[in-house]
Amino acid sequence: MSPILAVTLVLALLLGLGPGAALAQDKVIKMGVIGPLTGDFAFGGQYQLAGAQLKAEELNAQGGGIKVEILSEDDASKCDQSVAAARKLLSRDQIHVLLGAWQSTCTLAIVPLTAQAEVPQYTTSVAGPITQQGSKWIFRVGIPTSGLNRATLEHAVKRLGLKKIAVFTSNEEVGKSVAATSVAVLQSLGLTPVAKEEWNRGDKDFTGQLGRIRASGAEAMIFSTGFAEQSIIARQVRQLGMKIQLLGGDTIGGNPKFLELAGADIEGLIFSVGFIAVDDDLRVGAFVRRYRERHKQVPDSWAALFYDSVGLVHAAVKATGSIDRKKIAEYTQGLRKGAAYPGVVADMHFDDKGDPQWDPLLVQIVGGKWMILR
Amino acid sequence: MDDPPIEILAQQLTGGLAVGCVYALVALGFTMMLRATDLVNFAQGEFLMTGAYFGYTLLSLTPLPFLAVFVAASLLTGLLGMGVEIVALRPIRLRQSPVLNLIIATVGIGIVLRLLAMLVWGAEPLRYPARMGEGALLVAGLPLSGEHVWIIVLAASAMLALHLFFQRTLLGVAWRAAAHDAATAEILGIGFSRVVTLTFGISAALAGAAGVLIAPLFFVAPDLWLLGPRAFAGAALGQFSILGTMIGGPVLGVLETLGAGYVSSAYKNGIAYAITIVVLMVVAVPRMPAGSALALRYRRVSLADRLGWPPAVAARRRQVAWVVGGLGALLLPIALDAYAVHVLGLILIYMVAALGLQLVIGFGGSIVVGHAAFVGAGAYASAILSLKVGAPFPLALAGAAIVAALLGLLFGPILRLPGHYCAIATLGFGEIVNLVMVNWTAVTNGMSGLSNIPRPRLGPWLVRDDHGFYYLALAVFVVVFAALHRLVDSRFGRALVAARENELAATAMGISVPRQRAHAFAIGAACAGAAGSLFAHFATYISPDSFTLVDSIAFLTMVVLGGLGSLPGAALGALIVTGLPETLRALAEYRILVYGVLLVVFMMFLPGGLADLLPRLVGRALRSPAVPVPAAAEGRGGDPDR
Repeated sequence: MSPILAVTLVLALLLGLGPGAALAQDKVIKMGVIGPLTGDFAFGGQYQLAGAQLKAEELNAQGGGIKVEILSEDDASKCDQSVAAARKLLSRDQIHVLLGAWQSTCTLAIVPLTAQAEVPQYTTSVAGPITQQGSKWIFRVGIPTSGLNRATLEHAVKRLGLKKIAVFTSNEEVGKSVAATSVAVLQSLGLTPVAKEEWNRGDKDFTGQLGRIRASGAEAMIFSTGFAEQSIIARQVRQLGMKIQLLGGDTIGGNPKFLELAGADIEGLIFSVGFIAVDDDLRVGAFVRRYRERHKQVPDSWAALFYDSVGLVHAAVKATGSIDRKKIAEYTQGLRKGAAYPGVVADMHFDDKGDPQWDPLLVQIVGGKWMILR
Repeated sequence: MDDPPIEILAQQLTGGLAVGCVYALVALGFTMMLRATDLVNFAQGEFLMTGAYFGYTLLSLTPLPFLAVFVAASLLTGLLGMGVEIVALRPIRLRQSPVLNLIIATVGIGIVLRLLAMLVWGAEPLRYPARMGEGALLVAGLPLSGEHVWIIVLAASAMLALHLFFQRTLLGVAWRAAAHDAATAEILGIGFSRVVTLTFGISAALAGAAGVLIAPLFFVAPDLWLLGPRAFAGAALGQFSILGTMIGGPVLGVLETLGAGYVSSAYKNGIAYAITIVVLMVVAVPRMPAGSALALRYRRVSLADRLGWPPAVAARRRQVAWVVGGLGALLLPIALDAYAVHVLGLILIYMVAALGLQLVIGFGGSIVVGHAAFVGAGAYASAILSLKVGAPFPLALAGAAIVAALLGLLFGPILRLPGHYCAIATLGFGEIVNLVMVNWTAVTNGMSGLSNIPRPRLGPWLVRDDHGFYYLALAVFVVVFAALHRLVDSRFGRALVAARENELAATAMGISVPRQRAHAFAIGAACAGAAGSLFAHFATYISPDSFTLVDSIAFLTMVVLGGLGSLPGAALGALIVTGLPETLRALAEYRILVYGVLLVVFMMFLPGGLADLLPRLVGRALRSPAVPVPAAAEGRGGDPDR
């Protein structure tokens, strides 16, 4: 069977590369979603996709003549694949909007493509430079690191009276962005970080850097970003007997798995985030329940943000009466305070650059649960 | 800033020792495998990951205590290893395929295990339900992590158990006999096949044990597999002896941790590889018996021979085939949309890189697992020349090839190392180059990568779209293919093949084998560099992520899948390895699973690679006897690997 199988495979390969059947129906909004479904960051891409899917299903069940079609592409946590996926969605699938990517680095690599293709792009990525590329087509639905860190650090410095603050981040785009904005925020408060360290993605042992941070006499440490890395760091902080207030940068993203993973090690951590899943909140409660029913897990901010993004685009099409990329972008740009899109995360509207204009929540982990401080 | 206090040093030392003991367990598996079967099991890291997940499930679902789970998960992983060996690897072994094919099959097995784990247990890291030794122990006034101490104790017990197995049990003694001299052992009734299966079982069990020990520290996640390749360094440090590995692992762990604390945490992952390369190259250069692990054990029968064409006719028809193929390649993009042409362009780029690697592996006989480093070096050189110097594209392309070739020449001496030592050393080289890309931020912009790399411009022609790029890549491919085709048929190429088939005889004929290989390495690197340049200007964005160990393994896979020692084979391999996941995009995460399964299946049923496919099909159609070496007819019983 082997040679025949192999020939079939080669043929299938070539056929598969043939022109895709373009089924353009009037009332279908095609939304491309790019994120890591495999690889190091698979969890992130899976959450945001699940959020987008839930909203699409809800809207499609409502009817109303506008259907949402989600076209998901996996970038395997690698940015060159994000770029390839974006090219595919833009050129072959002729998507109307693009949601993604997930990693800041990868989103940054796609921004020129959506600008060139004139397709609105919505992203949860938080690194600063993403909206600084001169594209009119990029909208950041996640609060950037500068906003998150200002909230967290101001709380630490002004409310808690902590002055010696260490900055410990990954060396990726988002980590660098957290480091840069933290330094800037501290500077505006008249402080400089007492230590500044970095780690490589996938590192498991941080005792080298933590040793130096401890020697610097830091009272607090803002650290970001990475799910497992932050959990391990929190544990090693405890093992090394460091008495230090932990401050979160981003990407914990309010993901419930973070609580589960880090457990008691992360108790007391203070961080800022755009969305947190709490049942008793009027605004989010219903969404949290529906999401849990559908996906058997608690949503995080990435899920909520893409849930809202799909809703926002749908509202744009409904309001403008046509599926037109330019009109969707203009509608998004035209949202204002008082005339915002009422999402579960916030009343969404953006500034000229496409950055979100709403405040983050300040959250502390108390008793293994999220507690909203402000 | 003061130096970290003594407690921190103590913590770091025990932490390093604990991780090192885990390395030792994994590395012992590598060592046993190499000694008994000449095989590098690239799925060893995945067995560690699987063991960790088995432990997780047992702890979650049963009331068993940690110690019992430690033993049970190890045994389960061992059974899995034996099963994998019997189902997937034994058939390949019995076909007398080159050792490299077995290695690739283990790569495929690794991919399958990783994806299965992700489908069963999810992609997020999981917290271990139970741990040993919470809290701190006071040893000589220093607070040490109880967890670290427990890891060291349990790992040492596992190693002691292994030692007793070798010394005190009949099976263990039989294993040692077979590893020492398989042929004699066979005569004495120790079946080689059973020894191989046993070796696989024990190696997998050791990796599984390591997984259960490390998971509470690092959490369980699919990325635990990355510990495998690094643990290999522990085995190399221990000179691939059992006792040496038991010492090499912990030494590696301590050096890594102290290096991160007192030298540079940025290059921590490179410390292990750097030490390994230096040890192998300078301190204790390994010697292997004459002959080569790579000699092709089957005769490639060309299509013309199958059909019984006389040479003159065959040559003419081959020319016709080239012309037809060339026309097809020129016309193909007209019928396709931009995305399809984009993928084809990407495939051509990888074909160029794979051709270079084919020269090194297929013709030169060196197992190289760091090819992505050269592609990356070329990509960065080209991008930097364009972005910072403003060099025109042809110059950037040439610069990329030259930079990569120089890097190849510089590290050419690595290819003096025999077989598997060469594999691990080049793997380490690739990882170190990747770390340089990550950390040399002034030049490479680190993990953020370089963006806005200009599209290529050739004189008045700006290659703006995917169609234009396809033709550019096609042109480069044709030039590289033609050049290598001439090269392998030249004096240089024949000397290279002679060295591959019999190093000793080649040396006796006056061929300087190391120099020959180093030159092949540099030429292969130049091809990779050119491919990297194309990639940079094609994607317009590069980051260290595109040139990792995973990519190096993909290049290796292309060459072996295509067929060792065949240039068209390398191109075909690149087509499959690059094109298949792209075509299977509809399958989402399952596509990588399918890709892994196919890798194993190809190795099982097409040992000569894709290059053998057409001749075999024709042979079957003409009802002539199938493969030159059918398993049953010519396999020498239980000693297929010697």
